[in-house]
Amino acid sequence: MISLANPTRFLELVRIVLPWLTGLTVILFAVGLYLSFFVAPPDYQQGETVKIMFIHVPSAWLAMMAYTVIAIAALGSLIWRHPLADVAGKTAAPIGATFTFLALITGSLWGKPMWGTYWVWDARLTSMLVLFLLYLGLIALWEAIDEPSRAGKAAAILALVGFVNVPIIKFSVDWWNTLHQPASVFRMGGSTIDPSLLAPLFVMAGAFTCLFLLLHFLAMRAEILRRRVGALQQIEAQRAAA
Amino acid sequence: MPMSFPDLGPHAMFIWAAYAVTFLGIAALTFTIVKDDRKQRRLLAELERRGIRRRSADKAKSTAPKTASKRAKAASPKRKTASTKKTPASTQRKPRAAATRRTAAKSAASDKSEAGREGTPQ
Repeated sequence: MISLANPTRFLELVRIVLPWLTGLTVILFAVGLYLSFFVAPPDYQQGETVKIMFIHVPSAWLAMMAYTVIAIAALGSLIWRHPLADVAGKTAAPIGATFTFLALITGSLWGKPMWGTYWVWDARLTSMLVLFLLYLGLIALWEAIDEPSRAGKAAAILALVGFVNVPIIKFSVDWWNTLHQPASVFRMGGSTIDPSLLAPLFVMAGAFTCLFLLLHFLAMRAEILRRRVGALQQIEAQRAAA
Repeated sequence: MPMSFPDLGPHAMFIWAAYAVTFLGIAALTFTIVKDDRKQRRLLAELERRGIRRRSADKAKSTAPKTASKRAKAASPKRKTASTKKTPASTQRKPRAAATRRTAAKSAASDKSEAGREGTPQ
């Protein structure tokens, strides 16, 4: 694992993994969408709107997973001062922000027909909004500081402080009375969702996870190359000055 | 068998809107990342074409033949140097003589062991 933290080796790994990951993502999305629209039955209470679950839940899971990746990268950045950890943290933020945004929008589109409102200031929804704002803060921090190492340090501290929000999101439905339904997939007594709906959900979650990895690898490669380009442009400027 | 699209009921608009937003969001994110990746690769290729390389790449390039020749040198005579390391300088100059002496010593030792075996009671 540590040897992969070398940017050159990482780029080589990405070159090998990307085509396979792209293929797997496409296949999982095709199967997941087929199961969602043609196999999954309507819910006995929610009817066909349950189909929104197949995109809403994976988006919300990935929103939290991306932030967890950022927090782990922040540890790597602060403890080992590894540049690749900086790169991983920086590039996961826009992807996580997008998935959080999608979870919020699809959730409100699901909430309107089921709850009668697009938005309510309940604990789950509010903590997800806080997560979205944290992502925006991290992106802004990265953009505001020019020097990557300084920006990485500041962003790592913010990421670690903000990580407290992730368990709050997860347990908000247990700790407070919320309009949002309680945990129904990963819970102590087993899932409360019927397997006919659970199967498409897991396939879509797999597709979303592969998509996240794919986009994260691509974004990390672009960031590593951006830093190399910056270093080369500096060398060029120095040569021109000499 | 023709596949008919399921009737999504009275809330179809919400379902379609959710899927459309997700598709657009993912498409925009993918487009942005892929575009940035391509841009950086193009910029890097342009700089390298102009002869501007990273110092580490230059270093690797300049040391590559040296290390290769070192490796080639070190590859075959490795055992020889290891064996000659402990031998005195005079024997290094005359490896044949040293080899003869070593064989002589070996044969003497084997003779000794043979003799020992012979001497042991059966």
